[in-house]
Amino acid sequence: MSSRTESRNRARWLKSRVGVERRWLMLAIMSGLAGGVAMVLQADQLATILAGVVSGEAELGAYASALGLLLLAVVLRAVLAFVREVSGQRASIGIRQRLRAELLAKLDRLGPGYCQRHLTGELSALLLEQVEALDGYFARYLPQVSLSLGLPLVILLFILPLNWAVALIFIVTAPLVPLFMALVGMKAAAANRRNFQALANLSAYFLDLVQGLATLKLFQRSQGEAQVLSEVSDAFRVRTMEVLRLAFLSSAVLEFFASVSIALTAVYLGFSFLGELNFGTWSDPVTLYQALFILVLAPEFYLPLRELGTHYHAKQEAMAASERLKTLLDEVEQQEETGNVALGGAPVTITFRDVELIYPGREQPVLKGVNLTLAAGERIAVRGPSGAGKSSLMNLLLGFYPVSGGVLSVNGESLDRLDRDGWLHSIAWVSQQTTLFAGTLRDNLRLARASATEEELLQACTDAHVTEFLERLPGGLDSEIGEAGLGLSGGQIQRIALARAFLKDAPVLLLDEPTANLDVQSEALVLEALNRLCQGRTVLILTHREAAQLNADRVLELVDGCLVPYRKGGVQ
Amino acid sequence: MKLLWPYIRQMRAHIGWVVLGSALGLLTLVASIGLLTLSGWFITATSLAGVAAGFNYFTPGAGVRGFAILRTAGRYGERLASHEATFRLIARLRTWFYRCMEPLRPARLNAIGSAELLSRLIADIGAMDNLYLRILSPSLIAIVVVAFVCGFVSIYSGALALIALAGFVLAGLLVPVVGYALGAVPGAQQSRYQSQLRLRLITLIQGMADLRIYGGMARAQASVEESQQSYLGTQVRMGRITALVNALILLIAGGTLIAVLVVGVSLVHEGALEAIELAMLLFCVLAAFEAVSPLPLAYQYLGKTRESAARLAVVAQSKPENLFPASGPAPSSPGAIQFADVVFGYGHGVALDGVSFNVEAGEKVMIMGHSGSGKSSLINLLVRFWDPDSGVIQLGGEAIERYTEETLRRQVSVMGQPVQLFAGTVRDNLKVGNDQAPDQQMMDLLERLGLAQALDGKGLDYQVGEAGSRLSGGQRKRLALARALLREAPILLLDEPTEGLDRDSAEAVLDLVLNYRDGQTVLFITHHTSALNRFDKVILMDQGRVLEQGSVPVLLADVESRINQLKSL
Repeated sequence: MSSRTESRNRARWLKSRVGVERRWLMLAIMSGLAGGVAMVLQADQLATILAGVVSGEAELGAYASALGLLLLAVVLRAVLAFVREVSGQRASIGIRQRLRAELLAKLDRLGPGYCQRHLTGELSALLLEQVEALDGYFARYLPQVSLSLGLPLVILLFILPLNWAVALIFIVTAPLVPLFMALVGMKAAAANRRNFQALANLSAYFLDLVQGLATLKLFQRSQGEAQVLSEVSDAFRVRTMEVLRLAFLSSAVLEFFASVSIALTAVYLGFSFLGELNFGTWSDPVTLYQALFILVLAPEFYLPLRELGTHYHAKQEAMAASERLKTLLDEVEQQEETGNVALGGAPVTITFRDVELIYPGREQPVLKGVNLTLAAGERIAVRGPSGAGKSSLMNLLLGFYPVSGGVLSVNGESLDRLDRDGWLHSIAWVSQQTTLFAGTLRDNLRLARASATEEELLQACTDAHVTEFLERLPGGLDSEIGEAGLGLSGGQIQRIALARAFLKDAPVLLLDEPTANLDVQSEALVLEALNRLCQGRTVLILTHREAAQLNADRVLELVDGCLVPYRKGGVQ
Repeated sequence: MKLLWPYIRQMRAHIGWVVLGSALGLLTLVASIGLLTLSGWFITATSLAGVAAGFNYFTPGAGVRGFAILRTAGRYGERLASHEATFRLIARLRTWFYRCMEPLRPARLNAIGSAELLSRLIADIGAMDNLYLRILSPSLIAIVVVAFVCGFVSIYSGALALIALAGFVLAGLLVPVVGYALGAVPGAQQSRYQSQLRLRLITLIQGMADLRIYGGMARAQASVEESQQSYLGTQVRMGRITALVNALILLIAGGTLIAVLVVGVSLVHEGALEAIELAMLLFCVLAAFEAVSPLPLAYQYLGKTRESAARLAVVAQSKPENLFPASGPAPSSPGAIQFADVVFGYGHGVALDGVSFNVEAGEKVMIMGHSGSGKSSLINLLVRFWDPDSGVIQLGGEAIERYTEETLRRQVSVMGQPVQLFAGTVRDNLKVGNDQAPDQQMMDLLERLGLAQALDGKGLDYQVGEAGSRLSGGQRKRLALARALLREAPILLLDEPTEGLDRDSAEAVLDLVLNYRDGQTVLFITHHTSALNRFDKVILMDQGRVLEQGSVPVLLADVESRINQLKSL
């Protein structure tokens, strides 16, 4: 696809986001146009007064009503400018709010499997910064596009009945401006894009340098890099300025037409008064009022176009962001659809038969033919290096991805026919990275079982060795553990996760490297508690640590997308 | 202003371009005002002169055309000059900042915070070019234009000049300052709500699996929505302030015009001013508001730029500690390492609690322990990114503090965690380790690490992307390992080089590092016991202490040893 159709597509997508906020945008445009009319009124009264004074009437009292109207025009302009700015903002805020909600819903549908496979920082930046990057486009650029056409028309509408020659100057130069700008601009836009890219590269290089400073120091490279940095920046400047010499022609063109048409208008009007020129009016000769009126409006005629130019950057930014936002919204949803068969209660047997998994956009399957029967009450550990597909097994079991081939069944019922909420209800899991939510410890535990009594909560805390540090927390169970579980160590967070699993008391227990990142002492405590938690449940453990295998009945290994019995003693 | 002073000083080196850019900006504006003023005078004067008299229209006609051309050329030149100046300043600021930062200990930089904060600092440096382009230049131009216009008006009437001055000062100074003050509280709220929103988004994305399994998805979504509401709410308030400032400036411009008109008409009535002159002055004042209209934006940028400068000051104003002596000994026994009762903490808690061990030159040592056991602190101390609180570290037979930086660095080759690569080719990255290494040696290493096939046949010319983003985690690790191996040093320090590799790759890595250089001391940090029997010595760490250390064969023979207990778990 050519870059032009691509950018047209992006522009179309951006416009399609407007939706119900169209009324705010319309209000912004309307108040902009009305502001234009108020400006015409201002010019009209100003010219009236000046023309009167020049013609000899210098009594202030004679201009009382004109001054009143002038004041009205000024106040109107101010009020309308306020309305225009605020409604543009409103449109932008509404659009962004809706888009963010849509992205969140999309993420929800894409599911945890998708979120795990992408960097959290990138996804959150997409939902925060990239959405914010659309602000300038909707709040200012989009209304200004209409105004850069509408406002000159409004002015023309008032000038044409007075003098066709001046109107002609405007009419001829006005379309020339965008035309010339487009001619210069097409090359300049391409140049601009390259420049933008070069600048991004330069920033990336600098970021690299700063982030890698410690590494550079270790290799004794850090001092030499200052010189390199300065050379790279200089080379960038020389290249960019070559490009900009062309790109700035477009602003020169705009400035040229704006200046020349004012000059032409003034010279034409002056020469008309002197009798040197004798055309342009409809009937009577040019009056001083008309001349002043036209001269006040002349600079305003080109102003909207120039303002559009200042918002061009906002457009670029929005276009860049839209691509990434669109990519997320167009992402294929791969979650297991929910069925309606209720799970027949405990105990639970899980069977994988020739199960395959291919992630969307990948050619190589992660799992190719996994066979496993996890009998009720059985403990199975699965080993394998990171990236071998251990987490993929979990994602399938939890229904975060559908199987690409083969059958995954629970108590003989295919997983896609099970009611998903019911199925998730019968699973407890402890992963290597537990997320605690803003709120009290009690809130976080109650997630697992809302109806839990105080005794049950305390029992779970005892079972999971939470009690040991519970007493040291300022508010006991009611301590705020805050966003991202601030103030707790990894071991403590993991024990809270365990307490949650104890409370849930589910027939299936999934453990994903539950003791990674723990010190020896915490690991011992957690393992001891886990051993008790495993009693009487169907358990699947993913780990590459021997200690965390918890006396599993069988130890399997993921090799090349298949499960094979683990051979001990090889080099890890 | 004190905060911004260092940055203003940086402009001195490029003062020619800076001044040229502003001068051309001034010229453009003056031409623009001149064009309208002269045009106003011209048409009023010609209308009075009428058809009969012999009015000299050549001079003003030429003047009008001259201003028009000046304005066009001025604008073009101003854009070129100001961008030339800006790019030169960016280059200079970055180099300057890098030079401020380079001598600081990485420990200090770590205190600044995460990679995210660091990238904000980079953005802050970028924001400093606003100082010239959007703050200083427009402000200076506005001041000169206002002085110029008021001076011009005062030739005809002092009263009108005062009115114009009052209008300019109100619109250019008072209103923006009021707007800035009004925006301070919602502005601070805005950034607070923004970080709250970010935190909640991260919780939601990271914890989605937990939320699904334990319930609470709806609540997490609601809390994100609530943050977004508050965040956008502050934006509404900020938007209103911006709109108010814009409206007030229009009101003041209009009000000034009316005041000039009212007073001017009276002056004409009294005969103190010609009607033609009034028309001319009116156009002059009207056009001159163009000079003050960019000022509110300049104030907004001033606020942001000051915040950036404050964040940068942490680095820019740090005094580098003179860690390394100017001259020092050469290592007397290269490759040997000794820790004697080393105690060390990062300021909170104890990371190493009385660690002692001895490594002979050429020994292959495995350092075992969980994360947080103090393994990485050993590296930080050995490269002097930190110094111990007490105890003695000897390297190559001398106390580590006695070496010059160069002698110290030459003794140790490190592959740390996380792995840091640089945008560029594979070759560029390997040359960081040793810029004398021939291509053949590099390719050979890549092959032995199983990396050569992964590079799309491009070999050493493969572009690794920003911070190595076009490589997988395992590939990044192996490339960093190759970089460390290429460096000729008596000691090789490796932090979990096999973590995340499959069994065969891990085996290949081990073979390579244990035999790559004859007599090289290897410190191999890991938390797996499986490769233990290939090492001479093991040091078992837990919670900042050495739990057990000794010769591998001896410890393996002892059934009571912790290592054996660990292996049997």
